Amino acid sequence: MQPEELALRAPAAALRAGDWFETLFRGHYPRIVGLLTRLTGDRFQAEEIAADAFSKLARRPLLLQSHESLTAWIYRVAINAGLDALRANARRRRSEDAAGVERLRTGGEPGALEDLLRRERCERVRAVLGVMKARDAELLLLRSGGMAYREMAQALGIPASSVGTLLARAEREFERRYRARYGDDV
Amino acid sequence: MTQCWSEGELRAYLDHELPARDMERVAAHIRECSGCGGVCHELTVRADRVSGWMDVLPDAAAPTRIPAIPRRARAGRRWAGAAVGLAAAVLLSVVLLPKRSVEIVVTPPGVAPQGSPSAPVSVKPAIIRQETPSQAAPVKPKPQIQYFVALDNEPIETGLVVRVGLNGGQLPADVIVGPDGRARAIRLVSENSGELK
Repeated sequence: MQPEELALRAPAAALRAGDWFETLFRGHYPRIVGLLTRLTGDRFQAEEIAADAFSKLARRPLLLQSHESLTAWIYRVAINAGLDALRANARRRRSEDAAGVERLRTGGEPGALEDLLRRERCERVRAVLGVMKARDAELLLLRSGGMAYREMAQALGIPASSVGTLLARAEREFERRYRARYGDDV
Repeated sequence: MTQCWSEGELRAYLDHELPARDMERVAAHIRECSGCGGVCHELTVRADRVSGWMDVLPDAAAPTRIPAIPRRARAGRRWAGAAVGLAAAVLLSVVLLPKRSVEIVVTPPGVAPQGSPSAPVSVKPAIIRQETPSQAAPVKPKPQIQYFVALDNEPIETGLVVRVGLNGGQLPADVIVGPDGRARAIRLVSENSGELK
């Protein structure tokens, strides 16, 4: 149950901030870790970022007491931190990939080429997500994670009726940026 | 011909995210409107392409284990902790602070009354307070309490007090540094605060 749904079922006064926090944490922590893992490619880093986002929320009692848009807040903070980590990781990965190419050139293990190409495709997608607006990147990640429009609207703090429009724009923007960087090499 | 639909509605239609009634209406409209049909086709192709790119990103390999919930310290508990700390400080100050010097009790020799030299001398002990010397001892200045000033509105749960020197090291100050490395509160340390020892 979402915190906002919880509020509809019980009087606001009867709910402690801890109840909201626990509901939000149990309901969204695994999903946020999943999104961040796809975004950063690093499960441990994803767990760290997600835990940090929830810790930030726990340290903001006024925000917890307001009970408003907590879901959107936690997704926004977590995805923004994930995008920051993605940009920070990019430089390190480039040097690692260069080392991988060198290993291939000097005779690598079987399957290493496929692995390198797969990683290259991942890095391209992540690089494009990293330069997009945070909300557009978040939309694409949420959608590719299998979220329904209603859930995406809740995570983004927008009306469900706007999701289709924003998603179409985000897809167009992603394709434009991808082609601008990498041409038609899909 | 029925009314055209917006791009967002058509995108939602492709994801089967419109209400059932609207799904039927959009389907009927697309059959008769080549414009909306073209937009729908374009949206479908792009959505498939972007989906293909996004699917390259690997999923989390293992299900996420939910760790223990990071709880906020309850305000009541914080106040209780502060109250207990204050009470302990008061108790320690009562026990450990040096007591005042004990008053000196002097028993003077008895003075025999005149005219009755043979009478036995009865001496009653008397308590005489020693006079304070005319030259007053230097008054120790009362320590002036310097309170910390919070640098933000977030409650401080844990932190490390670090002594720093401001203004080129000439002005000592205490800074509470939080676990994230941010300075959370500061206080100036003056000479008469009793903390420059």
